[in-house]
Amino acid sequence: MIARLRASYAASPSASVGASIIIALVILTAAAPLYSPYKPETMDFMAPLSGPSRAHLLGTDNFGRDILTRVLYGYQISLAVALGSVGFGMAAGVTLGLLAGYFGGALDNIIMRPMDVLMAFPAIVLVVALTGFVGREIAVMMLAVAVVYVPIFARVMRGAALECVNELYVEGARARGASHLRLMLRHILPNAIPPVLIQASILMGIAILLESALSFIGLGTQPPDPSLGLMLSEGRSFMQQAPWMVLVPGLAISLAVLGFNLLGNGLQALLNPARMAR
Amino acid sequence: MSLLSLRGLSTEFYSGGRWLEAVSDVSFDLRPGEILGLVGESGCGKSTIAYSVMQLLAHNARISRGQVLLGETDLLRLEEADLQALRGSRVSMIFQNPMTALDPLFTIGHQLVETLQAHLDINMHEARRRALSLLRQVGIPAAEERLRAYPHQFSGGMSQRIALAIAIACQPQVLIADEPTTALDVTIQAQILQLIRRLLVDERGSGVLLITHDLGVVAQVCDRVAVMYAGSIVECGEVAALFAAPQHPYTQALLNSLPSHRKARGRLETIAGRVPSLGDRPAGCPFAPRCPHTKERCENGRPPLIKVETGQEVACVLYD
Amino acid sequence: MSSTTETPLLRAEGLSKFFTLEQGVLAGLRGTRRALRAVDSVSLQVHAGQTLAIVGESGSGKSTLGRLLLRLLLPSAGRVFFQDSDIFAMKRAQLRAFRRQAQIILQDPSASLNPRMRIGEIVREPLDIYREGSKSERRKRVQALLERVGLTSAHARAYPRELSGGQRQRVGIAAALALSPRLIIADEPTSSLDVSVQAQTLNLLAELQQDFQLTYVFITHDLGVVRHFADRVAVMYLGKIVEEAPAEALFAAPQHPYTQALFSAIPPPDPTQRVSWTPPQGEPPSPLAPPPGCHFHPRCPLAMPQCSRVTPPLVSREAGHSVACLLYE
Repeated sequence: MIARLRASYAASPSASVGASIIIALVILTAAAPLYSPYKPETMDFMAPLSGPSRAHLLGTDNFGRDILTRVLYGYQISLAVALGSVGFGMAAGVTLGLLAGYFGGALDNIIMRPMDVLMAFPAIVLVVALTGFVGREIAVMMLAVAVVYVPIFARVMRGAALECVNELYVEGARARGASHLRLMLRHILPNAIPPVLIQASILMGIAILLESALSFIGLGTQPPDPSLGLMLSEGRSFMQQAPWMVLVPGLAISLAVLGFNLLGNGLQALLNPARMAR
Repeated sequence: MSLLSLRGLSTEFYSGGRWLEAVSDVSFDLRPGEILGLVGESGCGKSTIAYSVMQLLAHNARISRGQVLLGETDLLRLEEADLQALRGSRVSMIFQNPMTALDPLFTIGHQLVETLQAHLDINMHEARRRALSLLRQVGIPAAEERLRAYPHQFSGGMSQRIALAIAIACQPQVLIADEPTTALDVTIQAQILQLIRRLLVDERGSGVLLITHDLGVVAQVCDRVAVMYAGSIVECGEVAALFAAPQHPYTQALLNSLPSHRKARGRLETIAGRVPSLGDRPAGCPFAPRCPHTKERCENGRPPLIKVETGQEVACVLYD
Repeated sequence: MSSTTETPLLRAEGLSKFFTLEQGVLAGLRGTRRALRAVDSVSLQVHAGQTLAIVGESGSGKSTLGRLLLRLLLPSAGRVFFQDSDIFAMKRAQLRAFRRQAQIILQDPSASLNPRMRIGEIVREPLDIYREGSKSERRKRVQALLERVGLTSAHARAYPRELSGGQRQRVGIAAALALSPRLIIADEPTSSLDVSVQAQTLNLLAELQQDFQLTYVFITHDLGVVRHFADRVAVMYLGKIVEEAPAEALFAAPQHPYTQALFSAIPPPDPTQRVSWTPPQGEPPSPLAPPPGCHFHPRCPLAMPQCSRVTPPLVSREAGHSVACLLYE
């Protein structure tokens, strides 16, 4: 196990660093209620807008709420939105892309032309429109981002599937009487999935950005729930007196995005078929 | 007098945290006007020798010992700039995939002229004239028009002819051909091999190191042959003598395992076991674990090449 | 040799496959789509227990023909009969039954095994598809198959990349054998293997043919392999069969000028035969624009004026030896 980890690190330090950042964030965030002395909405009226101190490691905001605690809880929302949107987007996109790539022809056109149309909308406009119309719950945000992601996943999956369809092992399985379903699920999907996973990692980072952006402009998470984007927006008015109010959530967003991007780039090296062949 | 001499060349690859020897203590001479075949199964190190001579080894490979003498010069002691001047002028190489040597973005006329001008002090007009003559020599029909064509417009056989034209543009003394016909159809293979013999050997008196896995090719076009197994030359000599009376047990087994289209059916002879991987080659004779004549002595280091009665050199304790 | 009166196991009649190549939008509008005649009116028969070799160079259409014979491609024209039933007219259930009995061994064993499946899973897959026996019976069958092809049950847990080329080809053979087929089409089964490994593989295929009364169609460019293995040989050039004969007769006296050229181009591994090595000149023409008449005439040393006008039919001459050449009219 340790040897395998070491080998993975040697093959792609970037993936290992990225994965470490993400795992650390997930653990710190999930365990926050266990060790954090404050709740995200606990207000310390004695110390609003105070800088980093022993009591408040990363300072407090204008209501005296602990910023570190709010960042940790904010991550919960960011990660949930990222995970949910990538999960939905990937499930739908992979299914559509696999069908389009495998069957080709008319079905390919029926599936992919609407995807092209969807893809032509700028992501942020689409998400803003959807959340604006439907509502501002987290689930809606997730679904809105997922809708943006479906065509991206479908395209990547279709391309990878197209390459696999002509592989000799697919032809061999077909000669042995394998059904379409078996060919798609046993032979094409496992061999075509690496580029999808790379894409997923990078889109997780972008989902975090999108969630922050939505919350920042008031269409995402609503106060008093902690969200990184919302914290940025609230901190804007206090930039002079309490720069940590924007600095900390800003850096927090960057850190998570960096983690997912490093992981995505690293996966590219790790899942490269030339390496797999060895 | 030989054109190219290898003296105790060893090349290693870095893998799994250690250096593994892919080519062990290989020596041979390439004389003017001969085709020397370097034959062996995949992984025996024959291509590594070619890349060692050209010093085009991958990042995870290094030459650990030995000399590569081109005339009097030891190529391993040259600076990269001097090597570059030699490559393509005094020593050229062609590959299994001719596209390796051709740039898809430029016309073949451009590439020929560029090669000529890089190594020879000639003007554009003269370079063009020579490029055209080279294309005619390698048998490209309508050569004048084809100078303006791009590599993808040629078939595999035609591309290999063009790669050969570029390789011989500066009259090299030594041509290294690494499986030049493996990717081609047999009828085309025959044409290319005969072209190599005519242009390099018969007309220019150069030496050709022909790397191949095909014993038929060796029998038809080579003058001498070196048989490799697991990084070492196990037998070396005149083609006629070696095919008539192979001496090393590996050479014997290899020739016996060929299905011949002149021989009726029956069970083919096989060699027990499999080629040892780079990591676990035996310390003694590399063929000992699969050899029907193995003795205890076979484990005492790699046997040296010894001249035997039939004229060839054999690395086997049977002939001590 | 079985008599030719009994029904052949596999029979192709006037089989053709044309691929249309899109030449971009403009050419498509102008209607100048070009057709590649990969296989052009091919008829052949294979009798049970025999080996037919289909020989040809790249672009001869031999691999396409192999795929048509297994209905991995649909033909542009013609029919294929397996034990008297037309495989292109088969419904789902019949097709399933056909696929059980007709298997394929593919060329490059490094590309023909799914890199994400273990060896045991690959060999078991046909049994899973046809729901053969219980789980433990399948496991035992996989073990027996692996041992039969010279591997051990320990290999079952390995991935293809952990095996050598020769071992991978044995896995391909084991998977093809799993359902006890009657017909195996082998597409260049040994061309990517080293000679000593090739010899082991060919010996194995010969033993299996004996043990299981297999019928083979061998698609290859290697005449050594053909001579060693085949009962009958069909020589293809640019989509057409130019000569078909019992192996003995063909190797003793090839009749078509192309067959003669092909034979003389193979370098014999015997330096004493050098004088006889006279390769043919010229390149095979593009299958997109084959020459009119006999496709070989531009390269043929014996070409006559009418060869560029008349397409010679494949005519049976003596004892099952057929040639498509005007010299023999």
